[in-house]
Order: sequence, then structure tokens, then C-alpha cells
Amino acid sequence: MRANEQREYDWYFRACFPPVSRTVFLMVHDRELAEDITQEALYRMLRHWRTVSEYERPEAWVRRVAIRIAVRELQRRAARVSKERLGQPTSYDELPDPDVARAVAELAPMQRAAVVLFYWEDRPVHEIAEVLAVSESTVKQHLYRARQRLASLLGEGANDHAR
Amino acid sequence: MLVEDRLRQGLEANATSFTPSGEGRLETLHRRRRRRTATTAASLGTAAAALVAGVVAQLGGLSLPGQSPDQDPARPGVIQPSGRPTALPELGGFVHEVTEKQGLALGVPRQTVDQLAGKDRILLLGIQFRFGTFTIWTNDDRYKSTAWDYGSYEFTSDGHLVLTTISDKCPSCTTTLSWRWAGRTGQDVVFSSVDRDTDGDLARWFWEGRWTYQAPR
Repeated sequence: MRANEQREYDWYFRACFPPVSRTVFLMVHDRELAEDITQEALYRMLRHWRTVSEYERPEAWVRRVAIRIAVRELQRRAARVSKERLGQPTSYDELPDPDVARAVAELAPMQRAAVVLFYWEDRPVHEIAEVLAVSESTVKQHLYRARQRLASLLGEGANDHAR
Repeated sequence: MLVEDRLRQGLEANATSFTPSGEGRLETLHRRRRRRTATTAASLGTAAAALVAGVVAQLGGLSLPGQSPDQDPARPGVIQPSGRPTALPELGGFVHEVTEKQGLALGVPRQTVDQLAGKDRILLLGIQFRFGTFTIWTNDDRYKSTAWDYGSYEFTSDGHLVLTTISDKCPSCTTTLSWRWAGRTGQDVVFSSVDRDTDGDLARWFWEGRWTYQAPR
């Protein structure tokens, strides 16, 4: 990698690392894992830098890769036996809003990703569909089901919903 | 409060409480890349040396160590899978045909199968490996070939083939395949045990089975 390519890559790294790590963190609720996943996505970008740097939005490529790795990791974790998971309980109490973190953690991996991208990153449905490699109707379905579940977990009042 | 507002506030509070430390990670990442580059260079050097030794031995009518005199001399870049890094022929390619029925049986959605298999209900796939990159091509109902996907490939220490897409279609998606020669080394190959980041059923439909070797014309 030439010096000017490395400078350009480093600039992207510094610009992408914090926001992508935060998004991944909202999905996995583990700071170190969030950084590991983001680092892996950025490493893949480094390996394919000559191609990716030609894209219109290299940062969108990194986000997409990081979120897909995160979803896969969550799916792996969900597949583990419950006993193993009990051995490593996640602590949400140190977070400013542990209730929201707990409620989001109750969602299926794809629902989590859709919720974080929609409510935190304000991404439109078509963009979420592209990131998750599913159709727009599937994203809408994930968001609808997630909302139902979150409303019940977070105790949304019947009056609130009627409004 | 509406659940949407509650979520937005909660997610923002939790996200901003986390300050990722990127600088150390950037250094780690450059170190990792330098190590990888050094390893690849060393492997290429070894492979080149082996190739030169093979050519010299053949020219002199000699056998390579561990090779019987009547054994087919291995073509460059072809090594029998043996639980260590291996290689596939870089001359020619492999073709594979899958049917609509197989796709549906594996759970691939009907719409996807119809779209890919087309009117003849058969999907013909081809792959070529060259200089650490792969290209997958397919044909349409008029037998016109088009490049479908491309990226890099490598072998894990236990001999699995790992394909990493770099096309914009599914950037950085990886597919890990177990493989073995169907018969003679350097000829047909059988792919099995597909592990893919996304669309696992679809990947199994594409990959699993025997791929026929096509020698260069």
C-alpha cells in the first residue's frame, strides 16, 4: 500500500470507527466485541482497499460488513445452549438506559439490526434492506414485530398507542 | 410515551455512553496486514521455488521426492488435499449444473429459484481460479455467459476453501467450502459443507456437488 493510499485509508478508519462501533454496540451490548467486529470490517476494507476506495461511499460498505458480522455473531450466540449463556450474563445496569438495552436484547438478531438502523441511525427501509440483504417487505415485517415486542417489554400505555 | 420515542432516547443515551478507542485498533490492523503480506510473500516464494524445482526435475527426467516415477506429474498449482493448504488448477475452470428441483428441496424461495434457473429450470455455473482471485459466471436462457461474482480466495490451514466476495453485490461475504477431488487429482472436484455469511440455502444449492473440470482450449 502506498503512502497516500494509507493516509486515505487511515482517514476513513478514523471517520468510520466510532459511529460503526456504536451502532454495533447497540446490537451486541458488549463494548469489546463491538470494537472487534468494527475492526474486522475495517480490516476487510483494508484488504480490498483499491476496490472499495473506488466506491461512492466506502463508509457504507464498512457499515454493511460490520452489521452483517454482528448479526452472524448474534445468531451464533442465540444458537448456543442456554446453560452456556447463563454462565456469561450481560450486565446492562452500567448503561444510561438499561431497560431499552434489555428490551432490544430480547429481539431476534435481524430485528435488533433493523431496530438499531431505523431508530438510531434513521436509515430508510430500502437502505436497511440493502444492508441486511433482504427485501423491503421483510424489513417492514421485522420492524413491525420488533415494535410489538418492544411495546410490551417497555410497557407502552394503551393510551399512548391510541394517539 | 410512545415506544418509538422511548427507543430513540434510550438508544441515543446508550450509544453516546460508549467512546470507542480507535487509534490502538488502527495500529493493530496495520500490523496484522503487514504480517499477512509477509506470510503471503513467503508462501509465494516457496511455491515458486517448488515450481522451478519441479520443472528442473521433469526436464532431467527425475522424480520429485515422494513421487513415484510412474505417477502423473502434478500440474503447476495442483496439490492433493491432505489437511494442509492446497490449491486448485488455475488453468481452465470448473462447471456445475443445478436444477430448479434441487433448489426448492434445499429451501431456496420459489421466486429466487425461478429467477435464477429461468425457463429451462437449469442453472449452469462456472468458476475459475487465478492468481488468488475467483470469478463465477453463469448463463441465461440463451446460453449467454455473464460474470456473476468475483473476489479473492484462500485456503485455511485445514484445507478448506474460503471465497471472499469483493463485488458490490455482497461485499466481504465469505463462503467456506470443504472439497475433495472426485477422482484424479486436478480433474473434477466435489464441494460440500458450505458455510456462508448470508443466504446459506442458496449457497448450498449453488455449490454442493460435483464440478466438472474444463481444460483450457
